[in-house]
Amino acid sequence: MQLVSMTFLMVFLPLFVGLYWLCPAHGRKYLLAAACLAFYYQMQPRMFLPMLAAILLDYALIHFMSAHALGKSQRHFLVLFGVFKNIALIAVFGAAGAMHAGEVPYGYLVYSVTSIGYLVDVYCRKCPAEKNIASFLCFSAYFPKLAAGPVITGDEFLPQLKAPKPTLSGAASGFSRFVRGFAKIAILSTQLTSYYTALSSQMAQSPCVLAAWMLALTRGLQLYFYLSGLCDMAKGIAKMLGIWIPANFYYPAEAAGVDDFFSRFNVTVNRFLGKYVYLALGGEENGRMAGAINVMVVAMLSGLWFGIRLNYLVWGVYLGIFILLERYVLARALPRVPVVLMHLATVFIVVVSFAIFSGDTLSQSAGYLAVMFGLSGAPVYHGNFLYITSANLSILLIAVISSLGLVSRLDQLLKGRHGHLRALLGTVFTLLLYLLSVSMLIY
Amino acid sequence: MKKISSFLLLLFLLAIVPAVVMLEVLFHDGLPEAQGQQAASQLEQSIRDHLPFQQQLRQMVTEVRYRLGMREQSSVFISENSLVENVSGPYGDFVRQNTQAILDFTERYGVSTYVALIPNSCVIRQDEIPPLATVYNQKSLFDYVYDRLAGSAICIDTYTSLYANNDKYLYYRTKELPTSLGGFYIYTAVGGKLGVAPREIEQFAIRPVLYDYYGELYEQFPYDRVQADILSVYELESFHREYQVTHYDGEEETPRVYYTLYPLYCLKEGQDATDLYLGGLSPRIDIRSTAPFEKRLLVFGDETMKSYLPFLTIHYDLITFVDLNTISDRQLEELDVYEYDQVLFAYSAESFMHTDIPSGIDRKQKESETEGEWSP
Repeated sequence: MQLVSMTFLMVFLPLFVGLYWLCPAHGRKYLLAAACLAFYYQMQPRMFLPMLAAILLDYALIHFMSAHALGKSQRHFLVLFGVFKNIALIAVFGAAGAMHAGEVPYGYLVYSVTSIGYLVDVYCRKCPAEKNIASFLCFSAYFPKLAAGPVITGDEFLPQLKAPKPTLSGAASGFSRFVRGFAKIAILSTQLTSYYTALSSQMAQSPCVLAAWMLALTRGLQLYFYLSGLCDMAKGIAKMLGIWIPANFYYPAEAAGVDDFFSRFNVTVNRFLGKYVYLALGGEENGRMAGAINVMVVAMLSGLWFGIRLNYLVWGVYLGIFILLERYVLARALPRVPVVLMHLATVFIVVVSFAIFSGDTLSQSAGYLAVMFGLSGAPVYHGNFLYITSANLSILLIAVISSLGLVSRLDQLLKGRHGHLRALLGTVFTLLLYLLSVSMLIY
Repeated sequence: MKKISSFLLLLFLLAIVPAVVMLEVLFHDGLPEAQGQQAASQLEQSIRDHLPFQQQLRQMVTEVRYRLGMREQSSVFISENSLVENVSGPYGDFVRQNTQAILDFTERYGVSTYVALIPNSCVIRQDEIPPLATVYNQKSLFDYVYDRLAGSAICIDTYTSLYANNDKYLYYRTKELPTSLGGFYIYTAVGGKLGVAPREIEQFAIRPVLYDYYGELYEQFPYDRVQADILSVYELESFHREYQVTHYDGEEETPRVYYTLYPLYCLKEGQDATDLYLGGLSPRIDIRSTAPFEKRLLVFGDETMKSYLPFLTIHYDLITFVDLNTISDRQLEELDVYEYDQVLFAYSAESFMHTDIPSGIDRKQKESETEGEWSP
């Protein structure tokens, strides 16, 4: 049972949410922990025990670290051990995933990164060590976030588990958010994936300039809708349970600058990298050059978040260069540039970046870039490209409009003045999305 | 207002809809019998199969996608009133394997062998395909295969005959299969080469037997404007014949026997209505007729036989049809090729390009080798 499946929508979610609401407030964290374990077990029975062992090891490390009798060096050893254990998990399973060698535990990346952050926070005494094992299990293995985030921190998640109190309006708005995420994947991401696949095979057989541009744009949109869909589902479920978790995407297509793009795209991951890598390396404290190197390290890690592949690393470097330009070279000139131009330039830079991201190898990406900029002698367009694009143009337009957050703006507009109309429209919109998503799923 | 709409939304989508769906699943399939991940996938399939209003939901998606400009969905063209499968080019090495198997067969048995590749509807009904859509050139495939078989087998061009009549109702609108009329044109091309003097269309009485047939393409893409298909039977008016159609379904099963070419009994619910032609597909079918000819024909083919084979029965006292996809080794062993005057390999382009079914005749040859039956 995947998150985007009929079984989850029709069986797991209603049963779990129903039981959760019926459960007394103090018992809800135990029910949530059981649901997390059950979900993980049915996803990957063979990886269940190793993952549980890893979580329990983190719990033990945190427990020992918070013991008062422990000296500084012992605490230092424990935190280093925990961090290296999690980095080793990321490296081993990341490499295994890249080489398609063996089974990779579901959600190992989000789990490991979350654990590293929490271990460091407890070590630095920025966050109290969680004593309750059920709460710790919920925090480490909260099932909706394991697929793609958001990466949550202990101080924002754990205090809410003491006695979560879901409300009716919160649950309804959480469910709407969940449906929105579900629809992003079932409708938009699926359609964009099939368009992207058609463009990829077109590029392999008879490339043309417009196909290369469309390929890069579609890959970016597909990735955005897939990841933000999963994160919306995670946030929506949490809201139904009376728990708040941060959003992971703030309409990155509206970014005015690459730095701004990074503050809207995969936000909690970039927040984690900023806090635990950039600042840990000293930020800009050791001068501009050191700061620039640190920015580049963070940008590279942002790329590697998507997998251990050279293309993702270069994607991060490419965008990192623009961040450095914005911060250090063009810092004074950029405020004078009209916002529209900034938007357009950002879209251009980001779309080009997804040509790098799309390739399986660097040479394939170089091939895409050469075609995009007319350096390969490929024609501007041809019949087959027009055919597949005409069939997908509407869905592409819907995706572009959805990525701009116009619906959210309309919602804000109605919020103050037309409360009833907003509630009615919101309900109808959710029902429509639900119906379409279910239809697409069985299609 | 907000609280009421919130409550109703949650009640409807988180309680009523899942409860109805689960009741449907439990009523039809019960709880999954498997365990672990298999149980989850079984349950997922059950929900998908028994979702209420499934047909309407599928219809809605097809309509929405069509309105959004997707005239081709999962390799099926949706035109104003029909569905046409876009058959892609050859998979792997199948064309070479299949051609080689036929070459080996002709070399080994030395009987008069004929090969007819039957085009799929997408290359014949070109006016129903969206402009700029790319369709694999099946004509070039036929030319390639026929070139390789030249001198070993007699190759039959069905493409020209079908294409010349492409304004007629040659293929079903909701299933990838030639209609009886399409079958008639295949028969004229095939019959001519087999030397049986095909009859004129005027010599047949055409009797529609089903006006609202919807095939498997429609089940997949239930697009509103697609017209239902009409199933018709063609019966020779001038010369009366008695027929006996014997289906050998499996080694253990008793053969099914029909005393007609068109057992209307097959129109009963739950069975594909096109099975009314000769009673559908079986591993082996023997069709005996009271035709005043002492000729026997062995046909290796696929589902397209439903369209053309009823016409060929006029000219033979025995036709044996073999489905190499389902026939067992023992059934194949029992088949004596030398009992027949002619052997016809008749496959749709799709079967020939995407499957290795025709090359299944290898099994027969291997048996001959081991048993030492073959003599040059």
